[in-house]
Order: sequence, then structure tokens, then C-alpha cells
Amino acid sequence: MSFALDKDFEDVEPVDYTQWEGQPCSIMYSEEYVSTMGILMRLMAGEEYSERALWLTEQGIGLLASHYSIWLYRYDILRSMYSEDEKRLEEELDWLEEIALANQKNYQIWNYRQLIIGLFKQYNYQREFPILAAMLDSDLKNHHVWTYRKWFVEQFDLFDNEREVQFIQQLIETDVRNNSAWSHLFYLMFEKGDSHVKNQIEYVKEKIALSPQNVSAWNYLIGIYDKFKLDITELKDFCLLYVDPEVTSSMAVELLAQIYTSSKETEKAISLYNELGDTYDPIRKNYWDYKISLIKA
Amino acid sequence: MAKDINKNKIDYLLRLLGKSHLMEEDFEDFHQIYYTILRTMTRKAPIQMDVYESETTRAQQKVEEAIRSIYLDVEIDLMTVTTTNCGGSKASTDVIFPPLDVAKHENYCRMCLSSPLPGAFIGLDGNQCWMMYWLSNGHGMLKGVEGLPADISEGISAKISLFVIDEGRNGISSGPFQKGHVASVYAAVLALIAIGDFKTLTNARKGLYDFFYKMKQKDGSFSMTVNGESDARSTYCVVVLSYLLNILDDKLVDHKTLQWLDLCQTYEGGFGGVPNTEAHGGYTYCALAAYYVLLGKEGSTPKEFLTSLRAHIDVDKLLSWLVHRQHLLEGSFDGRTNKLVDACYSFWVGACFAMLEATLEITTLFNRESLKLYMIHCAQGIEMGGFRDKPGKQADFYHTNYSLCGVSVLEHYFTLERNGSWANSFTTEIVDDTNVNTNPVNPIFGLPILQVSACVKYFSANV
Ligand SMILES: [Zn+2]
Repeated sequence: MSFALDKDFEDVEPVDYTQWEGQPCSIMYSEEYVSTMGILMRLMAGEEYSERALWLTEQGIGLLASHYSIWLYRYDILRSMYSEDEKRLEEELDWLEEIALANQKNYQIWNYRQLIIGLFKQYNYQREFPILAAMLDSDLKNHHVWTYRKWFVEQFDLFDNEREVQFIQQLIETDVRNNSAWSHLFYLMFEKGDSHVKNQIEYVKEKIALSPQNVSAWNYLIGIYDKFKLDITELKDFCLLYVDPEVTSSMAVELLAQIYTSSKETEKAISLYNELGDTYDPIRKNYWDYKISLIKA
Repeated sequence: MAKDINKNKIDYLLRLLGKSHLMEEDFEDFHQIYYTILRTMTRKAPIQMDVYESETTRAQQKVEEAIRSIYLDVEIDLMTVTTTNCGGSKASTDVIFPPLDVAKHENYCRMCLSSPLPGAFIGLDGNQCWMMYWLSNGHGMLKGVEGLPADISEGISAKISLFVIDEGRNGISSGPFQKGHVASVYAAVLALIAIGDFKTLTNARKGLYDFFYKMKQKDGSFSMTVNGESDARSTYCVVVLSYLLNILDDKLVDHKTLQWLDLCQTYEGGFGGVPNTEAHGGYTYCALAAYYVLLGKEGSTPKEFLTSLRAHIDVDKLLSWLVHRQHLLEGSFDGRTNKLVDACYSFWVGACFAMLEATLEITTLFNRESLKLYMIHCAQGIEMGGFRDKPGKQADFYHTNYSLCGVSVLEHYFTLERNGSWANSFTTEIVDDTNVNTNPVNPIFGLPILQVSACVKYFSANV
């Protein structure tokens, strides 16, 4: 349904945006912005839930997608008018996908999407895969999209969903330094227990071989050991692959120093921390010195 | 292309000295310290970067090239000063660590507060209170600068008063006719504290308590607004605001809030916005700062406080994650593993260091000099003042405020001396008294220490 700003809202007294002029940080609004928002803010204040109000929120979002109040107002309208009409809600999600693709950095969209999905009695979650793939395709590390994806997995219990796991592993194949993908994989693999521990240790070791200086993969490996209270001294030989005869990974040196610390081989640990500070990782010298002071204390 | 430019610069540098290599002996003792700092950053990485190539590594290389080029310029200037004998130690200090252009930053903050903003700023229409906080607080962080002119601070008070909804019971909005929102309340309250207006807040205190209480979720977190998101940021905002306004009690914030925050620490050591998401500098800051308020009365020494902190989170893993935020060449912090550096993390990550240094009673856990190089040579806006995320970007209000707060972190050493809550117990010592550009920041709030204690004093007397 379409409306005209000059005809269909004649009864609405627009909010006077000029009243903000002259105050600190006042914005020189465009005429289009003021005429649309002026009416929209008035309808919102009066809590009008109508077809024309719904149309107007779309115009407002078109002008400023990060305007949180408009999203919340739109949700209230939709819920009051269409909460039983799943066909209309599907259309809403279609529309939302277009807006999301045009506003990559916006996060209100994802909170709103959760609210809309919450209105369905039974939601076909398969629908989410294409839009999430498209969003990550243009920004692999979009924090809002990843947070939404975590909610999605939790909401629909997709921990063992093959499509989800494969998609994430594919992202890691493409860019083994994509830390967002590693973080999500950690959640998928280990939230429900320890059944994936062995295969994931092998998996991440292979990935470290591709890029020995990749902190994401080392953190994943150490994260597994910490979460399941495994013995890190098991990793000594693996670390040595990247330390001896040539140091190809400062992360390996760091982990090795930690292993020596826990096995009470303090001299070896101290000398590795010194090498990190002097040679392999000088930016963190203060921290390596602190680690040495802890050993000596 | 960029590599060629860098090579040309090095050639020039060497020709200047009539040499084919640069040696550290080429410098007098005094200059050598500075040269070593720079050289450690700009020389070839100590470990050959692995050959793996991806979108991540390409983006990183691009930033490195731009920044290496900037630092090589500094090296050339440093060489010029030392080889032409035209300056003593002062001259070379001024090349590598020149004072911030305080006058320009002062002007930037004041002008942006007082002149109408062009239409391009419509994108910030939902952030009206934020703009006022960023600019007034950025202004207040600058050392030796007089307070804002009365017409500006009165204007800020008047504007925020209009955004207070139902005496605070429905929050404070961030624009005309908008809904109340916890982040807007945060920005509004901090802007008022930054300008020292506690009166405007007095009337809204009780109402805001009701608003915050309405935002409380079953799991202990707080949401931004009705039907809004709840995460470490919204939870941090409620925690610190209720502390600042002296309305914090067990009914509003209880052990569940702490338990929920505990869940946000990730396997990497930092904190995600909600449990089981990627560790992120901004959320890590929010979570860690919240503990200093929520455990504010625990123990009478930093050591005892540390023990109660350790009962909630893995401090060692957190510290390990934090130190890995600093990049060797750039000198500054990223916000997540394998991401690019950004000046605002000088505060989000830097403030976490300030908290932990004070708590662990260690003078310095990160590299202050390297971060300083980045803030001065890469983040500082040269023409108009203000600060930017990284070279190639424009200065903006947000980065200006958090950069100045970040500079304050690196210009001071932090200690804790229990004085009421731990959140209000930070004392500082200046790192280098020949070059200090900022007032000491309270790492928990992103406000000057003095403003925080004035606020706490005011609301303990006027309740
Ligand atoms: Zn930033």
C-alpha cells in the first residue's frame, strides 16, 4: 500500500524540527528529512498503529536506518496489526533482507529480525541460511551478523546441523584467519559436550600448519585444552615443530614457555620468555618480563 | 606501489648519511632510545610472515604499508635533526613525540559543539546525547584547557533536559520524540558530569532507577530499551550509571548480573557482547569495568580485590588476550583477533590495561611508547584537529573522545588506593612530565578522575 506525504497525513501536525536549531550539535536537516520525520515522530508519540504509519516507518528507515525508535515503533505496529498473519510476516522478512543488504553496518535490523521471528508460531529456520550467507559474503567479520547467527543456532538448536557446520568450515577454508568463524565453530562444537574434542584438535592443527603465525587457530587449540581441562604438556612436540630448528611461530614459543612453566622447567621457560621479548615478539616485552617475574616469585 | 615509495624513503635516508646501512651506532645515546623504539616497529617482522594469503592478510598488509610509510617519514626527520646537529635532545624528542596539537583539538571540540552541523550528520540524529558527550568530554580531557564557555555548557544542559522523559521514568532519549534508551541515558549523564552539571541529574535520579529496573532481564543482564537488545554494553551502562547516580542497590543489580557477565568471557580470554560470541575490545571493556563497580566493596587492598575478581573470571587469560591486541608495526590495538588496528581501542583496550596494572600492581603491561607513536602520527587529525580511526579515514567525534581518553591512559601510570568503591579509587602518576597533554582519566567511566569524584561526592551528599 502506498501513501502520499502531502495528502494522507493532512490531519497530523508535524513535530517542529526548527525548535532544535541553535542548540549544541544541532543538525542542518534536509527538507525531506524534516517533513517525513516530523510526521513520523508525531504518529509515534501518539502510538498510532495503522497502515499509513507502517508505510511511513519504511520511509523513515530509508532516510536513517540506524534510528532505533522507528524500528521499535514498526515492530509495535506490526505486532498489533499482523501478529497472526504469517504471510504478512514473511513479506516483512523479505523486505528486511533488502534493507540489511543495503545497510551492512546496521545492527537494529538484527534485533528487529529476532522480534519478528518471535511472532511466528512455527518458523522455518532454513530461510535464514541464504541471507546470512549473503551478509557474510560482503563482510566476513560483521559482528552483528555473527551475534545474530549465534542466537539463530541457539534458538533452533542447530549445533549438529550439517549445513551450518559445513558453511562455517567453508569460511575457514577460504580464510583461515577469520576469527569470527573460529569463534562460532567453537560454540557449535563444544557447547553440547566433548564429543568433538579429538577431531577438532586434529582439524585445528592442520590449519595451524597452513599459517603458523595465525593467532586465531592457536587460540582455538588452547581454548579446547582449557575448556576440557586437558594437559597442555601433550602439545610440546607439536609446538617444537614450529620452534626447532627455526622459529616460525611466536605463538608456538609462547605456548611452549607455558608448557615449561607448568612442568616446572623454569629455566627453559624463562629463556623462551626472554627470547620472545628480545627477538620474536618485542612489542609485548613488558608482558614477557611480567611472566618471568611470576615464575621467579 | 607503496613498497616502492618506502624503498625510496629508505634510500633517501641512507644517502643522507652517505651509507648503505643504518647502524644503531649512528645515533648518540639519547637518540638511540628513540631510534630503537621506531626501528623495532618498522624493521622486517622478527618472524617471517607465513606465506598464507587471504582477505585478512591482504587488508592487514595494506594498513601496514600506509603506516610504515608514515613512520619512515618520522625516521627521516629524526635523522635530519641528529645529523645536521641543529638540535639537541629536545629537538629529537619533538620529532618523535611532539606534543599533541592541544589548541587544534580544543577548537575542534568547541566548534563542533557550537556550530550547526551539516546535513551529512543526519546519520547521528539518533545519537544527539552521544555527540554532546564525545565533544564535551574530549574537551575536558585536554590538559590546561579552560572549561567550555557558559553558553555551550548551558546549551548542553538545556538540550538534555528536553530529552528526559517523564522525569526519567521512561529514560532519556537521544533525539526529538524518540524512545528512552539506556545508551542515551549513559551519554546524557556522562555529558552532564563532564560539564559538571549535577543539578539536572538530581531530578531524574529516582525516575531513572525505575527505568533501569524495567530493563532488567531474567538472566541478570539489562536491555537497552523495551524490546531492545541486551548485552555487555547495555549492562555496563546500567551498572555504572546507577553507581554514579548513587541509586545502585541489591534489588536493581544482584549476583545474577555478575553471573551473566562471567558467561561472556570467551575461550580466547576477552569478552563477547553476549555469551558464546567472539571476544571484542569494546565488550571486554564494558564487562571488566562493570566488575570494578559490582565488586567495588570487596577487599581492602588491590590484592584482596584481585582475589574476588578471580572468583569470577580468568584474569590471566584476559591479560593474555589483551596484550595480543597490540600490533608490532602499527603500535596500536585491534579490537579482535586478526582484525585491523583502530585508535578507539587505545581506550577500550588501554583502559583494561589501566585497571589490570593497578590491580596486579605492575607499572606497565603494554608498550606505551609504541601506542603513543600511533596516536600522534597516525590518529591525530593534522588539519582540523580531532582524531581518526586510522590513516585514510576522517576524524570524527567518537574517535576524538576515545583517542584522548586513550592518550590519557598511556600518559599515566595507574594505581588503586581504596576510597569507597574501587571504581572511584584510581590514582595516577605522569609517565613523562615533559610531555603530558591530557588530564588523568578514570578508566571505569571514560571521564576525568576529578569529574567522577566530584559526581560521587555530590550524590552521596544530595540524596
Ligand atoms: Zn574505532
